[in-house]
Amino acid sequence: MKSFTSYKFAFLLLFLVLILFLTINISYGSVNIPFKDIFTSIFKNEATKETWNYIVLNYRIPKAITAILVGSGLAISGLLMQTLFRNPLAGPYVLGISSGASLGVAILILGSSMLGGSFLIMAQSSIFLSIASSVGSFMVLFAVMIVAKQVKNTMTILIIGLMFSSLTAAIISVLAYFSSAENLQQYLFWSFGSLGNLTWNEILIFTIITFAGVILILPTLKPLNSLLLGENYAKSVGINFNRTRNIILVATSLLTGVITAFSGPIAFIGLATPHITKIIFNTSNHKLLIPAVALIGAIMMLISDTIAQLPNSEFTLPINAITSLFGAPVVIWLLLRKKKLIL
Amino acid sequence: MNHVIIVLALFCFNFISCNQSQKKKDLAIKVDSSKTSIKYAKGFDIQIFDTYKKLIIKSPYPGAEDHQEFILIRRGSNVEMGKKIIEIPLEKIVATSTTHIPMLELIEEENSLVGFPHVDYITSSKTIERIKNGLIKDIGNDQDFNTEVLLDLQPNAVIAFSMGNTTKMFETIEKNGIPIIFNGDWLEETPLGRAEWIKFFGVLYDKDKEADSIYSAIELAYNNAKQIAKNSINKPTIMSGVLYKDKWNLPAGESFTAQLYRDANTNYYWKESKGQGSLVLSFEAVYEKAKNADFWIGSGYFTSFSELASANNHYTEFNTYKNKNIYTFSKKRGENGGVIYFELAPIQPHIVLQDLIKIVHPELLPEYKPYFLEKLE
Repeated sequence: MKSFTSYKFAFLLLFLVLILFLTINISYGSVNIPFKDIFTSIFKNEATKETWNYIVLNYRIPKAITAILVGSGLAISGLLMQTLFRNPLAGPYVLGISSGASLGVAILILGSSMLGGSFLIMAQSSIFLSIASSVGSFMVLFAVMIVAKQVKNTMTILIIGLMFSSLTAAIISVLAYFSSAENLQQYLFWSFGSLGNLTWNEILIFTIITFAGVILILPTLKPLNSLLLGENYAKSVGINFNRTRNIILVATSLLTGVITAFSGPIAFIGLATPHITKIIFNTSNHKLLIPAVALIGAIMMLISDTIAQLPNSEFTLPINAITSLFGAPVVIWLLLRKKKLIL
Repeated sequence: MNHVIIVLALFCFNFISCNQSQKKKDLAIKVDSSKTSIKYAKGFDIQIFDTYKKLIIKSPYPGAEDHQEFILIRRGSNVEMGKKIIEIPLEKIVATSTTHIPMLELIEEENSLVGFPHVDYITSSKTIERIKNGLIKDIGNDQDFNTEVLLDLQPNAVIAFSMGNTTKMFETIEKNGIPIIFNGDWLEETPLGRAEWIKFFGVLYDKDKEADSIYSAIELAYNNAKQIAKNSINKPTIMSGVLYKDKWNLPAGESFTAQLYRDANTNYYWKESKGQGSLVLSFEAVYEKAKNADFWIGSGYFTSFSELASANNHYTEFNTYKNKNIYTFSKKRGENGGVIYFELAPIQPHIVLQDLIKIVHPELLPEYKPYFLEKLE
């Protein structure tokens, strides 16, 4: 076990790296804005060009904040799922929560062509999309919770979650088959994921809900460590297992639901970040792991977004392609070096 | 001396063979003398011979390497050609794109349509009436037909369109003796090229003359409008498209739409860009370039300013939003919700062009009332 001061140092270092990539993320984009103007627009709101002010203050900074929230939220959800299910392959997707969110959006976007009228307009609105997505993820969570009451075994819940994902995916393909090309395209764009179209108001809601999710898990930090040794061990040391499990489920669905609502399904980060973090920190203490995955998740999202913007070109890439393209090799490389997976 | 003879002999031989091939060419030209003049369309050609016509589809789908060739013979005539033979005039067809419908109606052959995928997209009231009477069967999805229903209809041909290489589905239909003719109208780069596909239907229904005269009228009207637009000294700046999440989709510089903007004597911000489809750009790039645009033409499915603002607040930062200069093609819809523009615009490029001119240079067409383009509410 490393000394406490060395962890302090590691956190400081990670925090500096986060600030560095945040600066890089804000400085680079399709439009080439000189570094000096980035600063004048942030601090004095008077860049050389009026459009630059708007781009930096109302596009790039909200996008960077979204990246940080999405990255840390998904990473925390992933860590919680992996610990709860004691399965290195678990992530925010396993309970079908993300799929539930996708189903909500699919019904709104793809169903709008069948229902027509005001649904067509609603499908274009980001607020309705967020509502549909949250409702979808909570519906699936609700179903999982009911099942969880009946079934005591965590593995069974995991499998039932996977079945929910398959079910929702199937419903989405049926909807897609019958919907118009235009709606299908809109749904596809949503499923690519995106960080860059939130207003300051939406960012505020996003931040509040994300923090609520994080605060929820604070009392579970200690039980989480015992959970690693199994349900029975946790129970034997006097932990209210069912309560802990339910808190974790609610927190995860809240985080995943709101993230999927605002930025679409973002792949890979939730699964990979906990592994990367555990390899770097070499600990399984959740008091350290939770802030660490949050920081590393945020850094990974910022890097992915910077790459996706293809600095200085007018074109951009879907964020989901980058998170996987850039992230998967990193995990493989780290695992090959360590030659074993820490749970 | 010997050399000279050889050289002379070679020269003569060359000359004669040249001459012969010249003759062959002449002959070919003679046969082709009544060839329909395809002026703008690059995707198809029609050759007319004594006893038959040849329909060549040069670009059946994007990136296609092979041409499609059909021998068209009059019904009942005995011609052994061995290739893909289609008896004309067609009597029963399955069409696949709404753009085919107005072309059929213009040559008065809409009654030959017996099947269509996704009939809800159709906006033509004449054809909707026939759907209601059960005369047109819905054959499912446009890239994945209900093959049983289609085979049961036994059409003379399927006028299809394909995004990529021919699929298994088309093979099954062809195996059952129903020819698939790819209509590549949507791949044409110019508005007049797209409209010219009416000649494709003309030859299939043995109504070449009718199609030619309809087309000439469109061509004349289009070129007249283009001339009128040239009279304006100012070139208003144009932005286009909408955001899908954080990606702005807008017509590329070599697209049909960009050509219309050019012909309307405007300055489209992305006129120099490559590509015939659409560009996918970041919000930043569009905002930086088009913040001060004069007009915003084509705002997706949005039909009011409030919808636009509620979908994404960034839209309100554009001068076109502040000055309420945003126009859309999506307000005019058919009975079942299909956008009329998608169906009619390819065959009415002259009207689209006049609409554009009326909006960007209102002084040039004082009496004209736009048909497709409407201001947001």
